[in-house]
Amino acid sequence: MKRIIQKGTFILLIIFLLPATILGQKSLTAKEVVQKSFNRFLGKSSFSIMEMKIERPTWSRSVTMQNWSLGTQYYITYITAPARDNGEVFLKYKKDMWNYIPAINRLIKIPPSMMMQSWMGSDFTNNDLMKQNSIVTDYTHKFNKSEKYGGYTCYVITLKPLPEAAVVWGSIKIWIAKSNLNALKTEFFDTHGNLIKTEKASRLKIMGGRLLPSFLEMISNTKKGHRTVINIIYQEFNVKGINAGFFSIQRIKSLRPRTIRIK
Amino acid sequence: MNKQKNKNNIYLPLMHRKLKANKFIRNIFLFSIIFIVSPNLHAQQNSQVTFHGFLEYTNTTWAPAASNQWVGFSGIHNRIDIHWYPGNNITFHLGLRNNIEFGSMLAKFYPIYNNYLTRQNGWMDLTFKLTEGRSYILYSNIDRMNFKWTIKNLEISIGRQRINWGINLIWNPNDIFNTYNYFNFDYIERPGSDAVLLQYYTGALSSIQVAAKLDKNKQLTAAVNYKFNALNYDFQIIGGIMNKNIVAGIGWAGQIGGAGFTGEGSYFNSAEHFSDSTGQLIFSIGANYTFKKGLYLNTSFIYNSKGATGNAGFRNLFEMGSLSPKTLTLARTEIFGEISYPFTPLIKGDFSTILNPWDGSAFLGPSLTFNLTENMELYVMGQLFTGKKGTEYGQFGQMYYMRLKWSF
Repeated sequence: MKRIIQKGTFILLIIFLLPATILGQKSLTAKEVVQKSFNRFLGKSSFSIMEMKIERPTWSRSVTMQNWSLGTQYYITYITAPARDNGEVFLKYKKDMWNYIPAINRLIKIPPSMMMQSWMGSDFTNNDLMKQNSIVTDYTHKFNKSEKYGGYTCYVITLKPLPEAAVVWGSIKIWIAKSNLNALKTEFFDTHGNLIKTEKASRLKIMGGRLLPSFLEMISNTKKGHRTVINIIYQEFNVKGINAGFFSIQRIKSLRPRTIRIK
Repeated sequence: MNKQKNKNNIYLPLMHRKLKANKFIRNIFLFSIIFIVSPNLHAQQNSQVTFHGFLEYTNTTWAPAASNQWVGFSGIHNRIDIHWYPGNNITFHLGLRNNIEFGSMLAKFYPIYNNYLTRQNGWMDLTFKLTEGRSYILYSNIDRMNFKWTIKNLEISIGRQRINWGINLIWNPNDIFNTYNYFNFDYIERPGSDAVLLQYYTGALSSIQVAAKLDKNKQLTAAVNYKFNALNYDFQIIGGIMNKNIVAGIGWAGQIGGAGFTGEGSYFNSAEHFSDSTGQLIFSIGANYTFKKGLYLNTSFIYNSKGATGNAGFRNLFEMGSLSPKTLTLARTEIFGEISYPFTPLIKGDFSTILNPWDGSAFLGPSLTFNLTENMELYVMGQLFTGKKGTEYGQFGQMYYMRLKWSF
């Protein structure tokens, strides 16, 4: 099934679509900083347009899509490129997921094992995505000395896994801007202390009324020239007309992509 | 003797052109849409009209079981799908195929293969032969031509459309409007039905569909389908008539652990002799699992209460495109298995097989897909049939395909 390649794409989005809380200004613990940073992309409902690009030393491929979400229970993703997959739609409704292929007018219920696929060998793993909240719950958090990164003064926080946590990393180091709590850099180390990959977030701009990074990179530190890039072209939060009734089989069978004029 | 005759006739086609002027002009018009207009317009996603499709080159080589004379043919296929949205609630869809086939296989089976390609199964005749000869054919076919009107939860679709009630990945006993033929891998869109479809969505995940179609013999297929979701499973219950058969069926799609688990079953019985004839039960179940590195396993099983328990007999190669759910398999039971693996993100290998355990015949299908560029794909495949004479797959021999496809 060729369609497998996109199941992971859909999952990828989950992290970027989630709803946000208002930041407090009191003195925060390291754990609270990580939690609040994680919540930056959360909103009651959201709509976004993004392009994901897999880069390898000798080739690159990209997929462009539009996403609608409500909380963490409901998602719709509409693929607009590449041409072969145009019009394909994914629906997540509570625990179930479907894939609608307009060319054959076919609705496929996606089994859990297929949802766990990554897209074209993307550098984002499912642990990065599905268990994103685990960076809050599965680790201890400790402040290091503040550092300047990307033009921002950052909290530098080291995460070590809790003894019983089922996680793959030996440790994680995160740079979070003090002024806006966006995580700008994250380094992932294995249990031997080797740097495996680095996530970078940049090009901060106001999107959906919030200052957010619009450019995300996952760079492999072990394979030269391997990188996955997500470019958020458009982002909107608390979208009118997006309620639980929006997410349905009828919707995905007749959905049309939105027209957004981007300056 | 026949072979000799065919050989001599290979050069005749140029003299055999029978062109009807108006048809010719119409087809030229259709072709110009594709090659001139579409590449310029396809990118306009958000406009009221969208254009999408593909252009592909295919090559087929057939090594028949009964002869050592290989034959082959090539094809240039174009597909274009035009959607027009004149208002928020109305959609028009036109799906058009423009195909050229040429090669020695056409000549060898002339005019059988040409007629097979342009055969009309629908109530409307929407296949247009532009020109043909013993060794080539050029034709257009409209396989979608419908409009859909949405009134809140109700959708009405009228015209040539695909009504797809199949749930399984391989065998679809519930797909009574358009039957899937596993071996015809190069026409995944499938022919449409000339039909009226009413869909009423009773909830986010549930609906009632009522559909009716007429085929070329004005035979009626009409049925109801109730779909719902319970316990994280999709279910459907269908009932109606299919070409003078009473049909009733169920289907489901769910999961066991991480694996996908699907099933479909249909019972058919003659509507005219219901009480004095035994019905036919066809059911199929399937499971698939995807491992972390992309290794994919897929298996299916099919049961046919009227299937043969000995040699299943010969199936005409050219008839396989018109399989009905009643003839998905000729055997009492059959088993399907598939394994696929992405060797690199751009190269995928796949191996599929179907075994008829009753007569020992089998199908083996190795394939490789190369993603060449963002929109270009190369596909090479073998369809290798094995078995003794008189068995289900024993008389096909081997087929080798390559396809270069550009999507737009």
